[in-house]
Amino acid sequence: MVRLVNYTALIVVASSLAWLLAAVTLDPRANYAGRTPAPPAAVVDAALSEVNLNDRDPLLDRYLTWASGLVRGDFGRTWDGLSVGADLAERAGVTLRLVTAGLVAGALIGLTVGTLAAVHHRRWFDRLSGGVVFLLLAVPAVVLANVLILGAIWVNDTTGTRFLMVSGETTTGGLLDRLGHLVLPALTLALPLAAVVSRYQRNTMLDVLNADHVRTARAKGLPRRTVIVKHALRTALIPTSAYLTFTFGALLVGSTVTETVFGRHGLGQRLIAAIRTGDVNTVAAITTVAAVALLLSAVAADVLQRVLNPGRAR
Amino acid sequence: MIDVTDLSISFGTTPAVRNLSFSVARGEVLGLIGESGSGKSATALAVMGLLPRTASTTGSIRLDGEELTTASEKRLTALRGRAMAIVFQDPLQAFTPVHRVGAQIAEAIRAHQRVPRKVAARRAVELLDLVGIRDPHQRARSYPHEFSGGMRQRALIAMAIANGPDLLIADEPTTALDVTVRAHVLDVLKTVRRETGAALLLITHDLSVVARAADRVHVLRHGQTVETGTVDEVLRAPREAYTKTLIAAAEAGDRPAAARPVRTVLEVRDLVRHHPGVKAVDGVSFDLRSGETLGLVGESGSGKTTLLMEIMALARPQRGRVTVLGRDTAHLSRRDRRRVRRDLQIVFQDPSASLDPRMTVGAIVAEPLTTHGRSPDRVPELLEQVGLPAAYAARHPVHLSGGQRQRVAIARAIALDPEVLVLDEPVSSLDPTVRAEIVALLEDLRAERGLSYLFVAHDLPLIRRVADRVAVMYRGRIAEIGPAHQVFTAPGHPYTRALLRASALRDDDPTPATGCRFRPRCPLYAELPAAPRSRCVTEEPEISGESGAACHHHPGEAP
Amino acid sequence: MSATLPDIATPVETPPPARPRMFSATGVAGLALLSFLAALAVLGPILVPWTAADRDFEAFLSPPSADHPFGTTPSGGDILVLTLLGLRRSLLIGLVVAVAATTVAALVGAFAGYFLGWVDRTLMWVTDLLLVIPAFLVVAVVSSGQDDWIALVVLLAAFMWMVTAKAVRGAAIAARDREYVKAARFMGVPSHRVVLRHVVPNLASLLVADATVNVSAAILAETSLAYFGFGVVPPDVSLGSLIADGAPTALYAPWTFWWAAGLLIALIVAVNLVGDDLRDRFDPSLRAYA
Repeated sequence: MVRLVNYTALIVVASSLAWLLAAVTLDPRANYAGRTPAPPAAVVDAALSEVNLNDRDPLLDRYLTWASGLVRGDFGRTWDGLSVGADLAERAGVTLRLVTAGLVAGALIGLTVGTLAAVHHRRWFDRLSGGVVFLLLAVPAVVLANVLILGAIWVNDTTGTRFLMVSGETTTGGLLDRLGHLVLPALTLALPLAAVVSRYQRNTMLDVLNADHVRTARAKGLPRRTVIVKHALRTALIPTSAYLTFTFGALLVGSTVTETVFGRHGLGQRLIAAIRTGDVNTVAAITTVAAVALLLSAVAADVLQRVLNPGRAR
Repeated sequence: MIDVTDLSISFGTTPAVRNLSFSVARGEVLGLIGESGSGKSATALAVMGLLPRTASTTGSIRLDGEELTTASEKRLTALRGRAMAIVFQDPLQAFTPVHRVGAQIAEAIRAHQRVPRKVAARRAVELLDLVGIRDPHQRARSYPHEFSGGMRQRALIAMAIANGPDLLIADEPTTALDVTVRAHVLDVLKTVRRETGAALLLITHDLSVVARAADRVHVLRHGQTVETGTVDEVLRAPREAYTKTLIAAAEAGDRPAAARPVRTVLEVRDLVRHHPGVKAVDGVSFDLRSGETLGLVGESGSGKTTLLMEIMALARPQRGRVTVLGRDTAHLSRRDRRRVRRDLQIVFQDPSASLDPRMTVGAIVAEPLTTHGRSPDRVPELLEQVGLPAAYAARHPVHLSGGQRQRVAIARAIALDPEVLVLDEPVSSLDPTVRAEIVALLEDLRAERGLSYLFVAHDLPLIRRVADRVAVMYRGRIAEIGPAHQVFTAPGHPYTRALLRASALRDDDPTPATGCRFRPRCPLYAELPAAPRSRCVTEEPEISGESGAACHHHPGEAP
Repeated sequence: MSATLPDIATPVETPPPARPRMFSATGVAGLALLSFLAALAVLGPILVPWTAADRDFEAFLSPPSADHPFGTTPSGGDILVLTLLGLRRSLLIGLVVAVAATTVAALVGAFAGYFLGWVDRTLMWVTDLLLVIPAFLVVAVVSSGQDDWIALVVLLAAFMWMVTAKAVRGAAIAARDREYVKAARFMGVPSHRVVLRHVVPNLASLLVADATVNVSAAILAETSLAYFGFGVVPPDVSLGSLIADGAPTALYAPWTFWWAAGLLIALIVAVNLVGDDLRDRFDPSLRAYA
């Protein structure tokens, strides 16, 4: 309960700060500057005031207008008068699908590779995966996306198909088509995540494999596979799953880059556009959504911890 | 049953065991004794086939005639847990934390016997019952961390005997446990041997464990056999010098009675410190007089450390009163507190933890001096007083041995010429010869400087050697306090008696909310008739004078 | 009666051996690569005959040649000198951000962890708040109005210390119970001096390792920002801005993209190699598996 209050307070302060920062820094008036003929200042003022973006209105008034809207669930309007809430609702699904695919794939690949590397410690798989992971950690998302695109073009050329698509979310609407569009951006998100998770999982797993309880499990005469899965992996999952929450911020940045590169109309892409057009309300709304998502993921991680670690008071 | 011949184990180029030979017959207990590094645990792992891949082994290990050193992993997996089983040292770590205890025992059964899940679960409960776990039905559903240390160790034994092994190895099974719990676990091991008829290989560094539980003993040093024979032969009439050293280090003697000191330097009255859910210190009173050593003993969790930290904090206690050199700590100004700190210093158990690793010895010893605005010129003199060359001031603690580090810690503690030294297990992390030197140093300093010591230890022979008076703590209270010779020769409290005789006491009873807190474990209470019993249930026993026992029924107390 | 004998197999009164050598083979390799890149960044731009402002009007978007070993941009800029200048800027951003962020983290974490109570609650609330605000978003918003790379450094540092601060706090809470910290307290050393003299110095290895990680994190963050046109703006260049500029032409003029990308990857690999080595030594439990 205390926690819920604290979380709510964090979200309120975080989105207010984001709104204030954006309101002070961004310049929606610039959208009218390049127009010929230049619209009269009074018209621009009226238009901006209409959507609560006029930098000549007192900051406090604008803040109160925005905040009272937010309380009613109204995220305000963009500079050209569209509803921010409706716009974001449409786009949230795009980002959610992408991030979910990236998170699930990244976590699964990372856990598998990390576990196998630890079990085959210092053998070829460990060394090879270690090298790949090291390289992946050094590749920025932009570069990775471009490498994947190059790879996809090569795959499409060699196989003579057009399965892997580099732009948009769908062309024909079929499930397979959607999948073809999803593979590359999801991999762009998943691979760096998998690299981080596998390193963490490998280290945790090595610790656990040397733990006394694993030795006890072997001493009871359990087969190696049972020992590894039921006693080692099961215990190693606890710290690794807690660690997954920390990767959330990276996923957010990653999805912004990915959406831009692969032309997917999600929140990340909208954010960049909003900063360019000075859409204070959109920026603040996306901050709120991100903050809520982060805290939800913290709660989810907590629940996961309780499931994985039964009986243990935390 | 098990025959080991010419066994040698090495890790890389480091030999761990050299040409070791021994055998254990069915129903027999062989004690394998030696310090860590003597190769005894490596031997246990070699028998189980659990040595790490980096180890190389030569020689022969035969279980019931079958050669194990060359057996396949598959064959070893089949033998482990069925023909041979092991109980490891650290019971806290030995169970997988996320599975229930009963399930882990049932898993061991089902690894070797084709029985339905339910049957295995029922058998697990029976095994827990056999090793003396109360409420085994309910306890089988608990997770390992919900067990006390002694319970976990007994549950491990239950798991080890689940398939009726021919050979049971117990590797330091009692090291992590308190004296009385240790005795209980050894009793369980005896029961188990009787029930299963297994050969028992008991590995330990503790002579008392061997004396209590083994038939024959095998002394190891640096991976080689020093001496072997029956327990009586070896412990009564050791042939080898090394064995004699081991036995001599375990013996105790009384210290001569000191002149009666008069001035009280530390006075603790009804001190209370409760943590959430734990009554760590629950009404403790004692005095420390100038020039005397008060020994404080008690098992882990008895509140010794909390008590010391309450005294050292020099703050207002939750309840009760602490008076240091006539000053009540509840009413100290910041300045007074600093002044009192000069006269009250502490030496911790582990010098590798109590010395800041990034500072030089000189800076460490100078810190109290500079903190209190004095010149650090005295550092060389202080180092010489604790028997260290002044040149050591330039070294870092990592480059000193354990004993040297503890000397540095003592030099730091006496730098401000304090009147009272609190010694928190000051020698228990040191090896026996070094331990004797540090104890001698502490005795000399006390005599020269007229220091008063509050000396905390769990090693009873040591306390008997150094203390003028002794206080025995039990679960947050003092069970008994009095002159050392009196407490050691004529203990008044049943708990003190149990400690001194190392009698078996259970460790899985909750502390009762009212009445005598020792009641659930008390052998005296168990034998009392109903009428005098009721007093134990309703009334918390108190110590009235400056010595006595907190027991309603001890000889000195009116019935 | 108990007769417990501790370990006397190794003669305790002889001092333990000196500490092992400083760096592992991979650590040495990382250090060598890092030094090489740093030398390139410092000296390179001086040795190349072109400057960032020069335009070769005879070579627009030309592939590597004798005149332009790395090729040219669509506007005729020499990619070699641009890349070296970008490397210099990226390295500088990484180092300054890492040092600043780690310093803040050390102070916030150590004071919160040592004092606990309201100091801890306040500091950790601020930390959580900064964690909840999407850092990337704020940096992008604020830096969109700035063209000074110092402002970028301050912003990046402001949002990069929180995770380290939490780790430091954990370590400081553990340090509270260390006996050498208790010893200092019982000696009468004032609290702030205990923190600065005993707590923080003993976290040095954690801090150094984390600072190294932050170097690569800062460089990567700058790259992402630059991709959207935030942060380093012309005429200033960084590896990130070069990658962003080169991305559209990467397919048909790979030299506009891959020199900068390759150098960036090499830089991060080098920093990570050094950081891993430091971390292994900080955490002996992981060292055994390296």
